Amino acid sequence: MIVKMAIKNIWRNKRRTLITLAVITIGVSMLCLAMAFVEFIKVGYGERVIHGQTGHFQVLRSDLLQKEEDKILSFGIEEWRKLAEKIRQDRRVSAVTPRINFFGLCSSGEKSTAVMVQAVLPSGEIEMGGRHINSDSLKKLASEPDGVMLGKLLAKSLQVEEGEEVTLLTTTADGAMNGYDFKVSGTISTGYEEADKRFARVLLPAAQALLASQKVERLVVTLHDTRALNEALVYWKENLPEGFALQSWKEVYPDFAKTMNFFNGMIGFVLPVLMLIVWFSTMNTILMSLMERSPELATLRAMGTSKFRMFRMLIAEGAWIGILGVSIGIVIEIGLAFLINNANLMMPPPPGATEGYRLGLLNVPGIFTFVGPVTLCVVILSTLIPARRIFRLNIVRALRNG
Amino acid sequence: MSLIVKAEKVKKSFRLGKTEVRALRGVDLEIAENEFTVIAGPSGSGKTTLLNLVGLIDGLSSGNLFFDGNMVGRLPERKLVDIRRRSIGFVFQNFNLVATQSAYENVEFPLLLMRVGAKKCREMVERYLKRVGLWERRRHKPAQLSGGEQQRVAIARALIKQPKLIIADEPSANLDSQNTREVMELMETLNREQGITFIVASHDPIVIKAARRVVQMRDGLIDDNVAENNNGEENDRKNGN
Repeated sequence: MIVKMAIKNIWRNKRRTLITLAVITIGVSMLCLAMAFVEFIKVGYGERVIHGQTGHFQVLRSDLLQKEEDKILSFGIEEWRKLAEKIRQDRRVSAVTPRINFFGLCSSGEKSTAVMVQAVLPSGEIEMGGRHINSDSLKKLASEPDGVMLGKLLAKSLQVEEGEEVTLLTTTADGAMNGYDFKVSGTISTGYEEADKRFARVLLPAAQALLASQKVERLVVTLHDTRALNEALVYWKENLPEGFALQSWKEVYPDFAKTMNFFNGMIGFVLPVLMLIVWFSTMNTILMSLMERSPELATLRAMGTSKFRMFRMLIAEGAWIGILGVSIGIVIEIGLAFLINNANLMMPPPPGATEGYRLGLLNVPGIFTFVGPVTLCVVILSTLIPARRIFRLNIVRALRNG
Repeated sequence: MSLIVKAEKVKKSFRLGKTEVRALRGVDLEIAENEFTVIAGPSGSGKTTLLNLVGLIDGLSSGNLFFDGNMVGRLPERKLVDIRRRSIGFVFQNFNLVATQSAYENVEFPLLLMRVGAKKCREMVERYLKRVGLWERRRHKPAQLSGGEQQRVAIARALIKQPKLIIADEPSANLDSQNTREVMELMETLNREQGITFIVASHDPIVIKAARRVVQMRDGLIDDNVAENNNGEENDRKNGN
């Protein structure tokens, strides 16, 4: 009876109820959209970082984390193939690839500049990147044993083009200076202006020849599924040979946590603002309805309806408005997300970046199971305050006003 | 015949701004079961206040009030609600039907409060709506009914729980004379056939004429100078007794 009456009562003043529903609907859909965007960034951006840069975790000598290297690769991994093979045995692991990162001087003959060099095995990087990366530049690099891919702005600064030669100078693992001529295989864009000015990528064997060492700095490990990361981290922390340590991708790339904190902070700001609007809108609707219906409520009280039963009826009215608003809001959000995901909209480059990114939304059940109940609670709580007036309703006075 | 209502020196006062209004100044009244009593008197004489007290929707300032032999003047709210739910029906001047509910649902409501089973509920609503001649219009909302029809729905609503007492406050105030006659005839018949006690507040001559007993009020008191009209003989004649 209470539910039936509540449903009928909310349509008593259609326009007012529709306005309240619109506020709740817009609040819910906007909040879900914002959270779906953050989820897209978290997953999309995270996966791009993992497969394009960091892997899920990296294995390196513990000393490298604790001490400063006197010479390049003094804390490098000697038997890296054996270790890589051992890690590859784990069914969670999809790829293991070695890397060396070092600093050097890149010279075109006329101009020299400090560079950060990354030495890779293209096959391993392609296996690691999978569908998340564009492997063209890696394939190009693999085709030239002495090739180097230069950051776009670095090539521009050195005034070199594809096919021309540059010299890389660095200290070897013994501490001596060494130089090696590389042929420019092409240019790459990391997406970040500062990195594009300093970044160069060479093949691992060429780098090992330059550094006069067969060691590698680290092994980059990717998993089939990011959800298995914690489990894999726990396992490999216990099962790595002595003297080795691992770093999860978030430790290697702390900017990800900062980015997510920024977005979560925005949600943290938007959530209370939207909920406050929902709160006042619902409270206003229930309060107005209560004032308009006071003679009718008094009649029901006179007929023997208890205060508590009437209180429950008013709460049920708020709850129904909430359920309707939340449901419509979620449906609208799903529709909008579908449209946005299929519109291929591009976002402008973030500060410091050179490339924009595709605007995408990722709906996960957690968004709806959070926003739905939170909004419903806010609506019901905002109904409580006006509904309490029913306990103070003076039957005689309310009937007289009718 | 046992008393359904007994008021002893009942006083009721309330504040209106800074003024204290003494609405009832010590009313003594006895109403027996099956009576059809009209409380008559000019506006402000205390008719509605007395009905509110007897209907247990307002509290008295002093005196004693008995309902069906029990002192009810100072009962807790929970018990008053229970008495109202089971034993008292109300008919209001503005009909006060629930606007969003159909005639059927309005009449059904008191039974739902009393947790009457669905089947019995249906049977009773049908019986009472037929009794007031509105079964065909059961699906209509109050706004789709005329004033007389709304008042008949209100009577069916008051009647359906088979209360010991029906209180009607100015039931003809929003009705034309034809509808007033019809409604009064209906109440009178129900009183006669089912033995339900009616207390009606009104100064409408048609209503007063229909009553077996008329209690005159003036300035918050029962006016002893005006002898209680007793239309019983006239009614008895109409009833063929």
